[in-house]
Amino acid sequence: MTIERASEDDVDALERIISGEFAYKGFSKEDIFQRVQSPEIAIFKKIIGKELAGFVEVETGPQGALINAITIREKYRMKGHAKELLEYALDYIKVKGYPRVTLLVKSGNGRAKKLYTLAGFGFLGMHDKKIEGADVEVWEKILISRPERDNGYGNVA
Amino acid sequence: MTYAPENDGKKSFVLDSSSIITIADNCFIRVLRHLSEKEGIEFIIPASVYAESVTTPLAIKRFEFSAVRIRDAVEDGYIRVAGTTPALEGRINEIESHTRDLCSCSGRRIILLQRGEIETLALLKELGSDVLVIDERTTRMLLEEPSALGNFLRKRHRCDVKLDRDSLSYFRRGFGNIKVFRSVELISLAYEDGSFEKEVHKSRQALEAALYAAKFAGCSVSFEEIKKFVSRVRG
Repeated sequence: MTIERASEDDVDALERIISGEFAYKGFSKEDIFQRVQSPEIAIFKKIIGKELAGFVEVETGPQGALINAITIREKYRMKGHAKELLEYALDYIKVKGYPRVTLLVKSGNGRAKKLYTLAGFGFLGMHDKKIEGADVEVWEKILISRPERDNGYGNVA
Repeated sequence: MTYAPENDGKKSFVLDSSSIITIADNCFIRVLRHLSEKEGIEFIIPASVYAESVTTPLAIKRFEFSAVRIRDAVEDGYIRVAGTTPALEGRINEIESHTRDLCSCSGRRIILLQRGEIETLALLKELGSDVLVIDERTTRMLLEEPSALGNFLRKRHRCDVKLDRDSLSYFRRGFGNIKVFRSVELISLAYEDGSFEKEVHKSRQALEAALYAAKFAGCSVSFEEIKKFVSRVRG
């Protein structure tokens, strides 16, 4: 069992998962190919045996750090693989110096919320768009806290 | 399982205290922002470098202004401070153990790399980073020309300096292929790509003055090298 960066060779396997789990995105193979190659996006895959069991997609850039997607194929669920993928992604973001990370989760997705809560995420607010008709929440985790600074009025901000 | 380094296609430059302080002292910190935006370079420092270049000097009037500039750059996000992970800690410990026996003088241990430099090297490996930006000479020699390091240290310490072969070989294997920049190389890069003009009008005189300012702020660069930098550029 390993976690490693997905490459162009994984596009077919990723597309099979994405077309099922994230069909609303409407990603073609070409879209996924471009995401794999994008310097702003890192897709880490979980390999069990020779199978791609799941992946986590991280986006970093001037807008900050986002976890765009995390999923494990049905037959590998409830074994802690998503937690491992999430921790791996968080280490990746942390070592790159991003102080916080956000993600979106459907309001009704209790299992995902439990995973994020255990990883230290908390509710930040409601997302301005629905996904597949469902309300979506923005969750955040602070990775690195900085010392408070003087706000110019003799107090710390 | 913890994050393992892989180069993600972005250009990551890891800076140590010597280089970031030289850049901030000479009011070139915003040039890093332009380089970051124009060249897609990520500038990252480890936590100890933030402490050395911001937290500690913020309390010393003489150094406070540079510290404020670096802190602002971190708050604006074009310099980022790496967080600590178990994998990064592991690398720091590994490098620290190889540093301990690296150098001795008449049987007494000399510590060549300080905590900030050790963390910088560990971060560089952890990120699979492209470039180390460091002005401090000893660390640069250790990475770039370890064969000349012994003589350099013998002259500096005026004693029979011995370098441990195994430790030298560890640094050669782990860091022999990385690109090492100094602040003067960053200034030249900024001059060539136009980022320099965001701070000062572009002229050979301005470039030369900036390189000398970096030299007098502590960057290890010879007068000959400065001449070469200036003669290479147009305009």
